[in-house]
Amino acid sequence: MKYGVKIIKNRHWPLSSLSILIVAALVGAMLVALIYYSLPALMREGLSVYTTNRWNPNANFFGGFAAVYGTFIVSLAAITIAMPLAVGSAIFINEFAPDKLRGFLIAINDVMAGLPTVIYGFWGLYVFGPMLNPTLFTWLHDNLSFLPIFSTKPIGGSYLLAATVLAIMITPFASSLVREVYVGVPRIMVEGIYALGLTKWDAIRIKLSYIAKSLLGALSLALGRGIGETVAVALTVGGALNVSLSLLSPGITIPSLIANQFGSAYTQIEQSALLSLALLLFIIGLTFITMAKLVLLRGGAR
Amino acid sequence: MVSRLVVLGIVVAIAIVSAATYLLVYGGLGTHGAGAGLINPAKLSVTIKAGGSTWIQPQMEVWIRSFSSMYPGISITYDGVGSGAGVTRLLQGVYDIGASDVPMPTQLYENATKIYGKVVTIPDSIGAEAFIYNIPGFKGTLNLTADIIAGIYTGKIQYWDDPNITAINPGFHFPHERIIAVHRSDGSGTTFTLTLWLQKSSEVWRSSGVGYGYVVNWPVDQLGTGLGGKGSAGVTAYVKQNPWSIGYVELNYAIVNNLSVAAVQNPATGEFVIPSLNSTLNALNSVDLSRLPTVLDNWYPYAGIFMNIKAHGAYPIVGGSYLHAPANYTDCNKAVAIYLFLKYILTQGQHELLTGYVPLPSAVAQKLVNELSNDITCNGKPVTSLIGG
Repeated sequence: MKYGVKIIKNRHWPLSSLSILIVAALVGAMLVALIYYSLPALMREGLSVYTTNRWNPNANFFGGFAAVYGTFIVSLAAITIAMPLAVGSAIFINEFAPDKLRGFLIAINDVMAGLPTVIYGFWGLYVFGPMLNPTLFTWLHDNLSFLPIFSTKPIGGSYLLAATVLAIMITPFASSLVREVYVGVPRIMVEGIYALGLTKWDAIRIKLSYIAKSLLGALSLALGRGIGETVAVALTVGGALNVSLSLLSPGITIPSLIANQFGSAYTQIEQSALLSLALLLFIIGLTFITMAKLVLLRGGAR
Repeated sequence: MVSRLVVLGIVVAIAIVSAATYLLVYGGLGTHGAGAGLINPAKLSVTIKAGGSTWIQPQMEVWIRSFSSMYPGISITYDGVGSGAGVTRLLQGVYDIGASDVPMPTQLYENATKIYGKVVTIPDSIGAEAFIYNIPGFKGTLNLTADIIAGIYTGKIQYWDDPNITAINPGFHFPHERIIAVHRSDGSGTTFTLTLWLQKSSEVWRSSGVGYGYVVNWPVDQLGTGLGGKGSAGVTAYVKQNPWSIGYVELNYAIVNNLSVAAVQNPATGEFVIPSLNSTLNALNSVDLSRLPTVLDNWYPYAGIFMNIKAHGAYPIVGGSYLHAPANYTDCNKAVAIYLFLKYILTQGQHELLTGYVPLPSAVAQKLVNELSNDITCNGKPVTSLIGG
């Protein structure tokens, strides 16, 4: 038996290692191309292409701080909203849902994860935004405006609306990751918990603390996926080159800025400036996913 | 024996007929002799790749369908990739025709003439930019001037009860509400036309240093009351959702979607004019033909040629949509096909416009067709001398 497994492994390793090589080469090629095309802007503007907020292609000013800032704010807010939703739904599906409902919920989850993001975007722009703005968002501003994050009046698109739409989009993905690590808690441990006479809630708490690290990894992976989201965010974030502490004010993110302006960028320097933002996004995304994978691996090894 | 002769005869006859047809259609000898071997447009087999402006796309699809029914052998494709990409892909040789909501910028025009020798530019349809607004309780038509619009988008005018606004809209009591200024978030010819017009018409705008282009750095964004919508649909959605907001869209979009629009003061006449098909035509019909560039010229410095026309009832914010193509070809079939398509757009095509697209004045169109017939050439010969059949 053991011998057989080894043979299969041996026979297939050249093919599988070839495919991983191709993938690695593609990622490498992408990085090289991005660096190459970003160079004109980086050489001209230096790092101020990331740190100043003045983006005026006609006057050849390329400072994309508003987009860099917006990307962080939207991603951070999105993961804050998505985390409880993902963990909650994973626990419900694993612990409480009857078998039949569980299959149905997982199917729904997969459908939601597979929907084109433009659908979330239009839904956010035409339905969800007009629903939240006069109700929840206005309430947040009216009652909690002493907090800087709710200090401006909601006017349609905002960091928070984009983050909420993004959170709803990445929750199914995050939820299925959380479900996987949650089921991964050793059976013997679960039996031990019940043998001690603890309640279901105690069991859930203990399991969650057991998988805490993996949980973090799973959510970072989901965040890495959401950070590059383009269409849905472009439609809901408000499209303004604005830097504000308030989550209720309109802003912009790197992917939405690129999507908005790449089509009309006709000078080399403008294209280069947009690509230098893409480069930053690439590096952030790569860092996030690598960190998430490392944490997940270590969590699994425990 | 007899049957063999018959077969031989048939073969020879077929050979002669096909050789003659070939010469007639493809003009193998025709370039030397007069008359013989002219290109018969009805028998052309050419593929033209065009692309660019998304604004002209619906209209372009109508034109292509109509043109293809007349010349089934000429197949034309159009990609709505945006004005900027349309022009850059023309320069890369991907497209035969690049469509743009503004004439290609001078720098690109110079590159294009380096690559292709000469380049032709024609306006294919005219459009106007209209202001839409959401002011609860407001009846009638909002009046705007260039300085007010510039003030709103630069953040110098922040409230609806600003004296500049109330002075020209005396019929309504404006409350002290913040103005939400909605603009396009994506690069757009609409933004280009509007900001170019502001640059020409408003000292407030010029002194702000924002300039004009497909995208600009809207100062109002940094106040937190600027909002960028994706496409005309995005702008309209934000205006509808936000009381006390204002935004701009293409006139045809406003007409098709039945949006109420503001009257804008024409700086040349002082009149407040509501944008419509008629008020755009009023402006166009008074364009000074002698000031119009020729098809071989760089049109970029003339991008504002349809704006602020001094005529009664003329709407001021009017811009064209443009097609660019190389002027000289080595493939005579392609030269003929391009010429026929551009000519069709300027003549019959102007009568096949969708709602809200404004036709070129016929005198302008005629002038452009005359120039095209001389300036589109194959190996240096005007294309019109090559057309027969």
